Amino acid sequence: MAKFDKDRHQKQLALRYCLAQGYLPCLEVVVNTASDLTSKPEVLTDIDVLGIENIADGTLRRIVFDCKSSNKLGAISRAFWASGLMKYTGADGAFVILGKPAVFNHRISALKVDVDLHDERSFEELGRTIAQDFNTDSCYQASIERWDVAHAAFAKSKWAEDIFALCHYTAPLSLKPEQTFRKILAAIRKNRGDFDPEKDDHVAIVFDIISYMFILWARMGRDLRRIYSPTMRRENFEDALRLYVWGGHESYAIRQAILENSLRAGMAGNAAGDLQEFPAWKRFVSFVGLVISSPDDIFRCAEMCREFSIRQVSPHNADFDEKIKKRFKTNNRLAQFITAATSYVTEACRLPTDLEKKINDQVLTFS
Amino acid sequence: MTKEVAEFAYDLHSGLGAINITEYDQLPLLGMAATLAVHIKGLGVIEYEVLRKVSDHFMGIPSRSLREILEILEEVEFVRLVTAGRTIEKVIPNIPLFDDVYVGLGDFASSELKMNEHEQATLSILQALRESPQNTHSFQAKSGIDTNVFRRCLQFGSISGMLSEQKARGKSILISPFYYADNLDGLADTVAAVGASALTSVLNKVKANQGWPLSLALSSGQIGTSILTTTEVQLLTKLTSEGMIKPPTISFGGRNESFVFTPKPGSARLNAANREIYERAMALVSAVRKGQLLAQEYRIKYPLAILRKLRDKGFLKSNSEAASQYQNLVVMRVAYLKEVSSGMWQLHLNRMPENEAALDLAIDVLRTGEVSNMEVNQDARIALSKDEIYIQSIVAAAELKKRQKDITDPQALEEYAQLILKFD
Repeated sequence: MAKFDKDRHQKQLALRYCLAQGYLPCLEVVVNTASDLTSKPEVLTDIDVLGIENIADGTLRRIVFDCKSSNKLGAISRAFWASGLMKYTGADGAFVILGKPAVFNHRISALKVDVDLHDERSFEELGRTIAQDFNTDSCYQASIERWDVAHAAFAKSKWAEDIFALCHYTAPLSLKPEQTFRKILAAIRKNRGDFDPEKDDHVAIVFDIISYMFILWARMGRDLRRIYSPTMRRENFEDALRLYVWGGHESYAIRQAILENSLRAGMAGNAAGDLQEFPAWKRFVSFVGLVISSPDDIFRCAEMCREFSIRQVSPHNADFDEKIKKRFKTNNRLAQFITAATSYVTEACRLPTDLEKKINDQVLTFS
Repeated sequence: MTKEVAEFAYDLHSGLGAINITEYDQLPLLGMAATLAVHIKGLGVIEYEVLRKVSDHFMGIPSRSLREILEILEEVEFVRLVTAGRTIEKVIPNIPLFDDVYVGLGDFASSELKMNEHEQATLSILQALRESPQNTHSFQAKSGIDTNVFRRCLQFGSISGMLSEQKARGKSILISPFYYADNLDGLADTVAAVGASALTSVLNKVKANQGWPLSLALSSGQIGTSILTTTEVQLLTKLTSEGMIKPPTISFGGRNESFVFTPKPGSARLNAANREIYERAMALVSAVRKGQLLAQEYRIKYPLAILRKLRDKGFLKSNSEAASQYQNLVVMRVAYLKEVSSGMWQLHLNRMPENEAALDLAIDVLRTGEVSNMEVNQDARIALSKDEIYIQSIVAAAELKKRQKDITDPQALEEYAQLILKFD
């Protein structure tokens, strides 16, 4: 991706820092305008690296990493800019990696607005306090070159543009996970005729989508755990889940009314049954029932799926594979959640069934 | 091809109905003639007024065109017209019961009617789509149809519900709801994955041996006398597991067995009211196949003879396996079992018109593999045998409801689902 070329080294540092800290890195997250008043969305800026951290039980913390090797803007101005961006996107912290070191007074002042100013050297030292070898190529995600290759694979599939935008730009910053989730499903359904299980690129795309979905589900899982109680009857839970995933009672009621009106206007009755319920509802309820038992692991699945996605289009590396295998061995939920998620997405969006088989087989060889 | 021309014309008309496509000239006429002939076959004298209303309401034949159609049928000697001057008063059907309407009309079409470019293109498209769904680009290249003509045919194909163009695995696939009823998405996906010829080959082997037990086919690697390659075995498993072929099952001796048939025909070849007859015929064929290939002790050597005997005599001699073998037929009320001595049961046919029709279809399916005569609209035939008051009351009642065709366009439904999902 040509975009990745600017400040490449710093981006890779930020990337590896995230991985060392256990954050999920998202590269080049585009931030759009808050108002929706033009036909094409307008871009305000983009975040070089966004790290997403799971504090506990699905509470997510977002850290912005801004990489600037040029010195056009002074250090403290950069700090104020980052602080504004944080406020705008709802992030919780920011790092700015500059070309030249900033004056220490400025650095401490910047901390007041939750921005940590660094230059490359000090950032590397910070990283080494977490892990001596943080700046090494330790897994598939850790090298920016591989991200380039993965991005090129996505760029080849022009039909996946919408899905790409939703996943990479909206999902990491989304404050309404159930809405973003629905939109991603709609975008996949629209293009389901283009997914070809024979092509590695397409499999990589599916893994990528599922990893972003896990980020959304981490948030949703937290809410759904608050709904669920062991003494609850299944129907009551289902009703609450249905309203939650449709965006609330009024939203759901409006959709039902539209559906009834269309039926009255002559739409075929037997096909309408397909539309009344959330896609693959039964399987969705089972999936939710599965993941609320261990919400922290939902987030970890996102990391794993990202690894798989990049692995799909890069040469295989035995060490990295070993690491993945170890992760799966220590955490028995990963394989369970990932295969359940794949089955759900395949059924909900009517993707080819051998896509599901291929993905699940891959995941299961590691577990 | 001659008989098929008439069949395809029938199919096309069943989808187009009264929609007027300017590019078509003779083909709709042939289609309407076929529709009319199929429905009046075997009936007595019909009043012209009754025929006019019934054909307009049930068969989609505009009353203006009826005269021309009747003149075609008269030329083929399928009807005799009783006229007073220029007015037609009565129509006397003249089609012997054992004559095939499509053959007669097909012969007429090949000698008298000349199809224009769009019509010929449509016929070859329908012929290909009846075999299996096709990859749009490779089909167009193979058929040599001019691009603009092809595009236009696809356009009115979609309007008439004759075909839909779907994307699967990045390829554009044409599939016809006329000829396939179940899981069209799965079929399109299959063709995208393995190619139309592989699918056609499997379906042809199934057709030659309708009702073959699935487990037997998979384990022995052959259906009847045709051998299945490994890909074909996998394909067969996929078709049955994903609901493109819905095999009826019989439970006996503690196990379940499924019997494979060709995919259920779509709207053109299987009129909705005849679905029940189709299901019963499949149950009959499965039952005798079970007896032929999976019998506990006594094999049925000639399944066709058994069915013929059931039709002619009305019952089958008792045997010990009848209870489990024919259980489905009892459930569907096709027949009932009578115990003559302990453990020995006789199968008696329930003599009702649907069961007789089902038995006829079962015999046809076993003999030729073809599902035939299921496209006839029974309501139309009933209305033709009654008087004007009957048909008038039906027409009047229908006027009150919206007289549009049901919007079953799968594209439209899919877009609707998109909107509902997406909006905030």
